[in-house]
Amino acid sequence: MFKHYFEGINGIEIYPVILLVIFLLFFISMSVWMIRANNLTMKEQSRIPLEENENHEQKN
Amino acid sequence: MSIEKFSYDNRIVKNFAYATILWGIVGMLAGLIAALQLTNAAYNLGPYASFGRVRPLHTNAVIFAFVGNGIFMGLYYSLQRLCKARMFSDVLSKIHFWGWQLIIVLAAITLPLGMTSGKEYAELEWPIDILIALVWVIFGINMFGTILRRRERHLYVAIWFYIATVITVAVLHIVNSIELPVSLFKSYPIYAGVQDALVQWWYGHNAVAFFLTTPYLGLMYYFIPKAANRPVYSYKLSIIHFWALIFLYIWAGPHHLLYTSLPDWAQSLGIVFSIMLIAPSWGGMINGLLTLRGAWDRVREDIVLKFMVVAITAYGMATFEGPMLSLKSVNAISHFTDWTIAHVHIGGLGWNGMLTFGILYFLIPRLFNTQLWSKKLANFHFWIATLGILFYAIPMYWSGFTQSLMWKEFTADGILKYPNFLETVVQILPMYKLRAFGGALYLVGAIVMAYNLVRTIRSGKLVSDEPAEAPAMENVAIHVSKGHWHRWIERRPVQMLLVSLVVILIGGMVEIIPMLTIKSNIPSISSVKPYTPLELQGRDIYIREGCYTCHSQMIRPFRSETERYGEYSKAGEFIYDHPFQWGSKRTGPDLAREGGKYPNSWHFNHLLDPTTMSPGSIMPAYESMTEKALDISTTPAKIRAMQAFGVPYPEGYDKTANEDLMKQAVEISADLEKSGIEVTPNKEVVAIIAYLQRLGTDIKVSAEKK
Repeated sequence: MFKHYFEGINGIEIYPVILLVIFLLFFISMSVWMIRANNLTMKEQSRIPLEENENHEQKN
Repeated sequence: MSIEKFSYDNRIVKNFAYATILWGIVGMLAGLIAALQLTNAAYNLGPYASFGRVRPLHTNAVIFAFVGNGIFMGLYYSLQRLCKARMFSDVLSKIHFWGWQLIIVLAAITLPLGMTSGKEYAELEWPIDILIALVWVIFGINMFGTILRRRERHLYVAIWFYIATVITVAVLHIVNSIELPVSLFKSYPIYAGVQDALVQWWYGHNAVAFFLTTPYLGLMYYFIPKAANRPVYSYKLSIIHFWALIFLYIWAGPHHLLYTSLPDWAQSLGIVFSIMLIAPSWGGMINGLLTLRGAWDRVREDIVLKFMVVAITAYGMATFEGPMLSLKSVNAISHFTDWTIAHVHIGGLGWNGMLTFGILYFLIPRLFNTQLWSKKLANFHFWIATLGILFYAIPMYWSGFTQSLMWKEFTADGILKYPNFLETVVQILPMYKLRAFGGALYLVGAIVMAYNLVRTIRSGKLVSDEPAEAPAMENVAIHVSKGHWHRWIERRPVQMLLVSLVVILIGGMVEIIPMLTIKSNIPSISSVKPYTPLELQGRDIYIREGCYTCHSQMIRPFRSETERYGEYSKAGEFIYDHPFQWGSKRTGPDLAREGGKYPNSWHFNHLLDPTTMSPGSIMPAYESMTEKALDISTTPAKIRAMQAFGVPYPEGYDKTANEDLMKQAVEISADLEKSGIEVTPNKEVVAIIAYLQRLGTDIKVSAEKK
């Protein structure tokens, strides 16, 4: 039943290649970011559940 | 910057907590009944409580009722506090709560009545499916509204997991539940055969991923730091494993279909992504366990930490075992055996169960502003639950291996050593008894917990609205020029939802769209014809009774299987199967080529009382099928539904279908009479015999023609 819907798409093979590129870019960028991220900020964010009764000054 | 005063809604948390405890006990009890039924057929109590109907009751109860309410309990508590905001709408909270309980009650009524779609973990029929979607949307609105109203700008990691859960479960449920109703509580999925198998297990595995895993990881990220009073081990790790997890998990579905008729490329994708999944899963485990580094002595004293540590350990075990089971060589041994069951219960009892218990022991005293009534009982619960898990899993590993190896063993002459399937069942019955004992231990632990918590509740008083205060979040557009890119999305919940949506859709689309559009993925077989009306009705009885919970219909390309069952199953044989019924477990033999193996009289006697044909069988007796009349008024609607799907019945066949039905039924009844069995053609048993005798015969036809 569904075969008919997409029959007309020529060159459909390019999409998985685009997908792979997006995937690689996303994860490589995220890894680079993670390596370069500010450890102090990370520490602050990880303490959010422990500081329920404290009011943060809203930094950026 | 004004300090705003508000309060957290604890009443809704309390409600979900009560529901979690209640349905946990109900679900575990259903499990115990199912386990007992597998030790002795006598435990099958009448048509409404046979194993085939009890099993989905158990799975739905423990997954959606127990874990479901557990998710909401933990989420409603943690989200409010992480956002420093009360839930968006108390009314929506109440609708969500009562709507969810209504779904559960409807499940408890319809499943024993045999109103089932025949698809695992998606058995509930279409009216309830619609209700689930509505309640889920209300939950999503309530959750998202709370996030948008928050006073803490940064979205803590637990919230990302909650967002991913809400959006993905919605997608999974809707796509897998696309079905055409034929009556108030009966419908057929638009997918058939191989396509249905793929969609079903894309859904099924991701029900594990996004209902049993991601929300519980969110809960872990909140409750472990709270209980240990220490931040998570590595926030960076939590970011990377979150994105990797939600991207990779979606692709893993085909690992439920290895060595089946699913095309090889789809199987391979499932395997590769399942192996890759070890990394982000263990990232979660590492983060959870190492949060306690340097504080392990506290685990000895703190009952909450005890439960949580076992939970995370079980999570690590299950997420290593899962990828191993996804390797073809391992899967060749494990598929259709109790090993799969062992794996499921390590995750379910270990990860979901123990973490839920830990959270309950943490929350209830706090909600009621009191101390836990008895540390001793809680410790007893911990040990009996852990013991229960061991008594459950170890016998199942033993029985899984034993049965699989027996199925595969050949004599020196090259014939099957155990040609009688029943021999392999009888051999493992002692293991089934041990497993039932393990489940009983676990249930006793849960009951002890309920008692302890009730006494705790009685000793305290509910803090229904917990006062809090926090400055309002400034409505400033923060420019992230000096920050890092991930910070951008951590403050933008809507974008996080949309990006998560895109990420999880990718895997599904890549695997499912080619299956729906490329003809060569499902080679058609010209001799395969649609089911006759009588066979269609018989098939629906097979689905109603849940036969697929014990019998598979998928012969794998192994010599041990082709010797035992016949030619291995081809994709083209299932093109008219709405829904597919390949099954996941062989407590009984595979039925893919059952047609023509035994005379009609054998099937009649076997359904009436299996032990007369198979001494020692644990299959339930289906006496009522020989007495109940088949409802043929549904035939025209069923034919029309099939025609809508493209099944090539002749135009207008719905009007004459019942004539063909009666003709075939009379033939079978006459044949039975020759063997001395008196049964009128209008009985249900005649229909199911017709269906069973049809199974797998289409390609025998073409072989004969050659």
